[in-house]
Amino acid sequence: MSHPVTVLVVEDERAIGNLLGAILDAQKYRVLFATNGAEALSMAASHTPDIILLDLGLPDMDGMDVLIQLRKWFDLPILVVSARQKEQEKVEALDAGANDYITKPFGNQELLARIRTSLRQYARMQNSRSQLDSEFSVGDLHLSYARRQLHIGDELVHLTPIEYRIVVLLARNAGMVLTHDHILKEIWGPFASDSQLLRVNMANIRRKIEPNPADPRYILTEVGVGYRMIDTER
Amino acid sequence: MKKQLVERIYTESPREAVTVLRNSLKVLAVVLVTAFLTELLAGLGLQKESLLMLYMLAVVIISVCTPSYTYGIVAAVFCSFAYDFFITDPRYGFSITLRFPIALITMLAVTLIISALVIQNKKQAHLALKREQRTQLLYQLNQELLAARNVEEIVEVTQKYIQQQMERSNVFYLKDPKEGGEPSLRLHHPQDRELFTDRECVRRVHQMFKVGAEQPEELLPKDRCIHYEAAISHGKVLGVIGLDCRELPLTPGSHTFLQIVSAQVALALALRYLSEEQNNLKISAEKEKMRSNLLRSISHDLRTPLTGILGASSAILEQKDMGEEMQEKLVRDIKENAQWLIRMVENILTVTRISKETATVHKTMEAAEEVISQAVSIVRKRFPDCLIHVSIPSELLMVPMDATLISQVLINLLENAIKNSEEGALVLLTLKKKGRTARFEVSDHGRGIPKHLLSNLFEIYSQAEDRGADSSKGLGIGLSICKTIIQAHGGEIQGYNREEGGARFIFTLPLQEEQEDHHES
Repeated sequence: MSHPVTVLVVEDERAIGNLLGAILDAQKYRVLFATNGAEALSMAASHTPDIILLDLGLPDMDGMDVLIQLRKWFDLPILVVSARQKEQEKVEALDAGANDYITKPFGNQELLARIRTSLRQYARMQNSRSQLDSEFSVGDLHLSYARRQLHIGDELVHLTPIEYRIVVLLARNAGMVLTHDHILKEIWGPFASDSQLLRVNMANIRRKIEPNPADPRYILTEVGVGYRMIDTER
Repeated sequence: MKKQLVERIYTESPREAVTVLRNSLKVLAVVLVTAFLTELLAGLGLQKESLLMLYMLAVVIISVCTPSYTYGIVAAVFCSFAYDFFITDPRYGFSITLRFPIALITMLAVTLIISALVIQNKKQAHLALKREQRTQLLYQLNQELLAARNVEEIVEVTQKYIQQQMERSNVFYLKDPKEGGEPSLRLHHPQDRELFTDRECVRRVHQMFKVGAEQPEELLPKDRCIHYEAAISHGKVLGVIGLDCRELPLTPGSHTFLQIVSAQVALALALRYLSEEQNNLKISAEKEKMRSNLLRSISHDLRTPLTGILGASSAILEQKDMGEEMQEKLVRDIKENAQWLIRMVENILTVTRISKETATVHKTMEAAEEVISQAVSIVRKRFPDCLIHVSIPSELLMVPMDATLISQVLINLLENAIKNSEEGALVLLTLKKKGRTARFEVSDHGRGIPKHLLSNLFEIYSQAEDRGADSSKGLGIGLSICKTIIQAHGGEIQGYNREEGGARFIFTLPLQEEQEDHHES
């Protein structure tokens, strides 16, 4: 009894709207359109879509305000569409509650992958409210929460407690970008602000779990934004 | 009496005493020689009047040869007595008749007149010497002012001269203190600082800046503590000098000197400002030229793919009976052209992150390996079949940089390498720490760089003629943007052909010293 996934596209450019409509339609998603912030808010309230694609550049109001307004009551995934080179905007959007972002110009497959990841992540979050997953695995990486162990293939990896907590945090949010700030506050507490500390730890983690730390497979860097643990191998 | 004088002076200064002694001896010698001579001549039966002339001559000689009136007067008195004693009747005895006072008064008068003349003469010579020294000094100051490399040096030289010559603390303002001018102090006594940091001083300087050029400075209210002098050129006050006058008021001579100095300083400052202005004009003209070059070459580069997109899409829309294969080929072209356009625009956008005024970037500490991995993953998305091997040091390398810009440089270099190699050829990206720099290296096994491009690889136009239907079009801009970015970071970039074939591009970024070492924790 699967009902079609409803996607609300908030985008003022008609051409991009058309394109997104075509791509999402082909995936059998139900697509709704809003061309400005006010419309987006009312459509979200009346149709309760499963996911919102929100372009931050809107004609009537700041996309960030729309995001903040939505997040007051809407807890389904919101995917922000932003221009490249605006790391700060991305960080702000993520900190304001966006689940993920995608950079313009984007490929169709990339967009679909992001939508699927966000939906999957949301479903997982719903499940884990009742019971925590006991393990996580992607590629050769196996993480057992119960035994507090990380294996790459058959090999047990020794992590320091801090490193382990970072890996767990990323794994629990696999597929999503976590901002530097978010990770710092989760691991080191609300007053931590030295992102250098995080980078050093991350470099150490990479040297333990990645076959080539400069060409990571599992934990990807979003420069200027944060880190992302992959949730499926490409 | 003379002995007393000698003694008194001797206790004050040995050198003066020596001069006094020498002069006194001179007086004594001349008087004795004259007395002897006249005695001789009197024996030969010469007239008394003629002998008086001899005594007169002695007084003249002494007046010329000694530096002060005193010796002349003493000599005149001696000579009168000698004349009375030796020459007038009775010989070898004082007569004190009318002749004596006449001789004495005449001799004193002659002495005074001659001494006055001599002393005046000497004074003038001394003045001339002093003037000569001042001229020399001003000339020297002028030379130093002209040789000054910047405005600050001009100020320093001026203040040093004023302090040396006048032995007073002084202050120099280049700009009105109410418009952010900062005082430059040169203190003769350290305790003079308060005098110049006083509110009153600042107010006066401001006043000088405002009205100094229009009003003769006599009309300005005088300040008894500080004398202000404005350096004016073409009716504009370029600087104000303040001179401490609390202990000694300014003499007219010093005032003139100060005026001349300030005129010279004004000249030097005007010259400096003029050349700086010219320099700025030159730089902005250069920038303008670069910008228009960039614009021209970009619009040229954009037109080609846009024409392709327009043509291909209209062809598909208009020719309904086109074969499917043909249609796919055209759509593929559209996609390729669009991708190229996106890369181009991204490149151009990165340049806007570099500050226009200072040509610098906002740096933050970044893990070099993260930036590398991001660049590699972007390139991988664009060229799914490419083979990139990355190697980094075992130690984490934190480098101050604008990550987006450096990532763009790496993307450009990697794409360049991939496009100039056979499909599936290996591209190497290496990061090393070398001294105080991080060294990034991109090597390929491709065609290498054509020889005629090697010398100006990073110039915008260098590849213009080489750019045809070739897929490497637009790389000229890519490389020139790389250079702009690396230079803005204070680094260096170079490209050359490897001996074993293929090209290698290397760029370095400076590391901050305190960030050099990050060991595994």
